[in-house]
Amino acid sequence: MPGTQNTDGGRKVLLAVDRLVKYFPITKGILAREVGRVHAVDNVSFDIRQGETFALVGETGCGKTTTGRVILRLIEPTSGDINFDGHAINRLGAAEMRALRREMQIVFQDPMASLNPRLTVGDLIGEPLEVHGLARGGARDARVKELLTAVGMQPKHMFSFPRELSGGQRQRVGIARALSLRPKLIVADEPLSALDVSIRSQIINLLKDLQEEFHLTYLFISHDMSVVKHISDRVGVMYLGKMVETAPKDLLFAHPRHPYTQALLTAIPIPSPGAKKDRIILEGDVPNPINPPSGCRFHTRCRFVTERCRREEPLLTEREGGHQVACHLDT
Amino acid sequence: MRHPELVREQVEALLSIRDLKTYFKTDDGVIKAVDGASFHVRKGEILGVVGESGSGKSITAMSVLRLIQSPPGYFAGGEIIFEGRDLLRKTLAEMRHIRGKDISMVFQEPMSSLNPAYTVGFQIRENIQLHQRVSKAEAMDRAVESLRLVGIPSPEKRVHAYPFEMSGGMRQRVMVAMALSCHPKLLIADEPTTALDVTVQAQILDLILATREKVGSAVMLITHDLGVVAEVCERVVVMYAGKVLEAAYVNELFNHPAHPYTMGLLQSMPRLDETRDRLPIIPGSIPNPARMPSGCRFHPRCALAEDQCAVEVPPLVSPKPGQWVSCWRVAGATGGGADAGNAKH
Repeated sequence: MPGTQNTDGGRKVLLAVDRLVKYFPITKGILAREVGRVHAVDNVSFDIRQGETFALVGETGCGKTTTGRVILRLIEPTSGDINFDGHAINRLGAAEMRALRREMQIVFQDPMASLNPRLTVGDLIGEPLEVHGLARGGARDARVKELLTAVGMQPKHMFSFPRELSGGQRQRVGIARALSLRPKLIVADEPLSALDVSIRSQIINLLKDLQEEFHLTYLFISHDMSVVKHISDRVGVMYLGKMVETAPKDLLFAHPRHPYTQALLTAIPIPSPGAKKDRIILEGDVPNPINPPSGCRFHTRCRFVTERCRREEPLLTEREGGHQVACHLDT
Repeated sequence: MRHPELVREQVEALLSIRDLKTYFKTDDGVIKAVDGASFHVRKGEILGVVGESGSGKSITAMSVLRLIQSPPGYFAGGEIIFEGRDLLRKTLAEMRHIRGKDISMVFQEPMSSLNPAYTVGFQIRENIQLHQRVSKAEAMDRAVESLRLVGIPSPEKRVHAYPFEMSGGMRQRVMVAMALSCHPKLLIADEPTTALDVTVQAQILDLILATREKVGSAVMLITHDLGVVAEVCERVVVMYAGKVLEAAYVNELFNHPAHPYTMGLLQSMPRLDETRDRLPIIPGSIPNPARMPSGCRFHPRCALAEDQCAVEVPPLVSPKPGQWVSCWRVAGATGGGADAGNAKH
């Protein structure tokens, strides 16, 4: 059964997501009658082990961001279990959850939108410390300076406002803020997408260094397979609310098994002219998540579709080397 | 002082941008968004223009179509020669005849460039009727045809659809259909796939390539994605902080980059076809356009910078046919054949 194996590599499972479901109701009229549901995340299970980087990849509307937010309970799940470091997160009360949030933090995509423009960098990074009653006054400032240095900035930046910083520096502040409470898990939701190409590699290296220094575990949400290949240990591929494939990174990139993953990988332009590859062009668009296709959700765009795929939903099953695939084909 | 080879190439070009200066007056002072950029687009070719934010790549495109709002924007110098005539000297009425007919543009965000209140058929028809004397019915037939050309299923029904009834990929197909509906000589595509998913990006890039072959337009593809350039373009211009740092054939640029910025970009990207433990980086950040560095604008971030780089702007020189570089390491080398590939840092 997916979601329960925790034997690999002997490392302890820090986060276990089991049969997670999130539907968003669509309501109509003054009585808010429910007329439909967006199937954002539908029966998704995976584990993240201590100290690893698990990447959740997929295209717009696949449910990767919703999964990240549900794990932090920024959104309440419809059903399913989330176990973090021995705590069943989805059953915790508000006060217990607040205490646990210290250990799970998030880095957002757009630092300009997620940092309060009226606060100085010092206040932005120091705020979580005060909220959780960990440090104030001089102790707070000392910790802020320490964090700024850790993310490659200078202590004097604590007096700056976000608008005075470059995009890369703002994202460094976002990361310092997430680090301030010494979390175990950081959910990084597309932390590089808003950054320029020449800045991305700086932040990628920073995330890797911080992981080593502070023994962090990352849930890295991204649509950029090149970055994922560089930064992650294991990868989960989502399509229309379903996990279609999970595997250790090397295995996934060398032998993608799900037809969707194969198409996704060949669609990425390689910065090497003349590198001929057999691109699999997917026809059509991602179907509407309000009314997802029957059987396998990818069957409407799959090259190998059979009658069985239209009828019966494939389950995520174990293949060799820790590879899990949800496909009826024996790929 | 311009190089004779560059002059010859520019005379033969479909579009040649010479020493373009597009400035903006702001409270912070004059922003030199494009500051002396020169490059050209040949008939029928696909030219990539790459750069990060603030490189001036989009402002250059907007300048070609004279879409710079004034004030605050103004042209402080240079020429944009299209088919032998300077677009900067055209009246606005003359420009209206050129836009959408001889030169058309596809923008990044199809949702904000289509009018939500009209059907896509109406919007394509409008462009056709603006430039050609055809009846309404004929224009509508051509609109259906252009939707068919870009691979929209059942185009005779979809012409009556509104933009919100379509997916992002479909909307961008409509934009391409509209842009190509008058068979322009030049199509400017400004980050046409940045707002789209990679699987849809692959569809749209294929589409631009295929329709270009049918229509015969030259394409100026503006992008920040070097992968897209490598797969689609024949030549490429690299812009940084309002200037052209390097221009070359795609093979040359990717295999033997001459400018340290291009080298840095290529080395620092995480790649699908390579495994590396740690990425080399370009230090520092993109300069503030109100306070551009003196001399070569890349010098504060350049590992190979010398004293001269901070003082004097390097000229654009041609070490090899078809290759243009603005760097003192190349300009200073005698014979002009500096082998940039050896200069690893």
